Amino acid sequence: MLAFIARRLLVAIPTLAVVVALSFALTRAAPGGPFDEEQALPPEIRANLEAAYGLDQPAHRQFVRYVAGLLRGDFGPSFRFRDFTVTELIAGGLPVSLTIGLAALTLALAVGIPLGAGAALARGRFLDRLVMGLAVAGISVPVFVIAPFFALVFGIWLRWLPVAGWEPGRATDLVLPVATLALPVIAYVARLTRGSLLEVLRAPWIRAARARGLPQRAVLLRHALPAALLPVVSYLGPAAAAVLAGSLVVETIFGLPGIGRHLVQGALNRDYTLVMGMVIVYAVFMILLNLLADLAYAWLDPRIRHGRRA
Amino acid sequence: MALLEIRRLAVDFTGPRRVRAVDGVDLDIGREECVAIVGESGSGKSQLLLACVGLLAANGRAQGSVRFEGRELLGAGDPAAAVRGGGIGFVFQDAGGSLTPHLRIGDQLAEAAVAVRGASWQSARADAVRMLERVQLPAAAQQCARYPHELSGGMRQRVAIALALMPRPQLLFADEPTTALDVTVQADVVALLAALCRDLGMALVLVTHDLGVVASLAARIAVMYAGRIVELADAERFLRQPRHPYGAGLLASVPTLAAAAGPMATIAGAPPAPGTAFAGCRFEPRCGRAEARCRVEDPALVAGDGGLVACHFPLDAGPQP
Repeated sequence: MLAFIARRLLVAIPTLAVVVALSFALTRAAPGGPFDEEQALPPEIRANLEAAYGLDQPAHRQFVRYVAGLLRGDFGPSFRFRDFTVTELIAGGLPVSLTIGLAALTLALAVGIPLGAGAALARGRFLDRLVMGLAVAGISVPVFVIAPFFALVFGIWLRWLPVAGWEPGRATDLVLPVATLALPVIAYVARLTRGSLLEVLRAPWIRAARARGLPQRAVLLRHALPAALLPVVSYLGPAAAAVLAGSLVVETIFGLPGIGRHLVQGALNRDYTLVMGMVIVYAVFMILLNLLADLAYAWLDPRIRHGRRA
Repeated sequence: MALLEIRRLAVDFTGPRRVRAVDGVDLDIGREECVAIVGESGSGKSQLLLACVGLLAANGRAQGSVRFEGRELLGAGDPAAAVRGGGIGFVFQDAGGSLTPHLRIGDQLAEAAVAVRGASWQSARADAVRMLERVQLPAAAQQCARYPHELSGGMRQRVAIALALMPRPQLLFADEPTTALDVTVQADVVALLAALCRDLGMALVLVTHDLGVVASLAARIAVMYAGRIVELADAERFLRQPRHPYGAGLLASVPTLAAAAGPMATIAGAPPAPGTAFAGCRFEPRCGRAEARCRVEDPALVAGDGGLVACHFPLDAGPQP
């Protein structure tokens, strides 16, 4: 188990190296630079700035310098947020983003799995059609439509929740962003759970469990559901990616001080170090969530735990 | 009163076409009796058993009456649920497939005793080990901590039998319990089933293709063809002299060492496709003894010479000339 985790973390190192190299190349390849503004800077000031940030040096030198910084845990200074290092910017926004991201994932599983299971058990009946109809809607409607819609309904018409904004410790600020982020994932998880559970319920060992006289509850919860959740667990990685992508939009619309807006703003401003820092943070996050998904998979399926597939 | 009384049982499957898998079966199973049901694939043997315990596929429907200790098992609201496990146990053909892959064997065994008999987990775990010993699984105590995929096919079948026995059923349905196993293991499993039924005072309904199994185990034999019982007789009588031409054909097609050199005896033709409509005898198209009457008149299952037979021209009960 520990060996497995260690191996996976070792494999993550080359993955991260590729991410760093690619994102470095791509940010430099984008036209423009961090000090291009509508009003051109005087050439001397511009030259001074570029020298201060090392941009006057050849790209490979810049890369070596950046990687050397990374190895010391230093993401470098932000080019646009003067007097802030990228590390500070990320540290400031990460708790907010992590909170809404993990809350959205948790909510998606907590709601999506029971909905999907309920739909599977009510197959072809009203509940099934209702849940699957909502699921199609949840998957099809993009986050940037859901977010303003929620803000309009719950913030302006019903006045139940703040339209946007953030004050540390005020949980009501989180409800709409988390719900918006979770909705598409809930929809997908519900569909996955339904399909998978329907398949598992046809398995011969489910019939055998029922033939043994086990009550329906036990058959469902102990025998069917753990097996039915395997595809859902596999989906955790992509789900995390969906939540990350959604958080960029959601943080902007609901005015949350997370790191999502740093990525968008950083990219628009050609804030090289900030963009790369963000990409690395997201990559680490994805790798960890995929590792978590694999661990959960092994926990659910002993055949994988034992390192072979039957 | 018989332990299990099956009356006019019919099983239909709806779908693109309505298919009648079991068509009016009457059968009694006595306490501690062992009855074998033989017949080709698709003759409705398995569906007969599944219908009794209310485990037909979702598109299947059973009509007629099945009573266990006088209690009706067919009807709305899954009345068979009350006898599943504790009343009637079930061993399936694919034993490996009847174990839940993500649960330890000991947990599955204990769960069956806890959920059905209301045993405590502690006593159920001890019981699980004893039951594994009883089905002659080597190193029973260690096996409890293992998962199904860690066992061989023969071991899995033994575990599946132990699982079916944990709720202490009075009647065990075994649906081709040896088909999926190596030939060398088949005989062991059959002997084990026989011994268990004797020791536990359990009745057994054994569905099989293997007439050799039948000979060593069953007191009575029911021959099924195209959803009907066409012959029901004492095993000893049937093996000596079957009366239905189909039963005789089945018996003749058992390979023997003496006949091993020649071509294998078979029954000409193929079983009718599911959903076929019949005017006369179902076996008539394949029957060497068929006459005009067989094409138009469906033979009833009538008594005669220590059994029942559904044939207008049954074979003689006496020793064959």
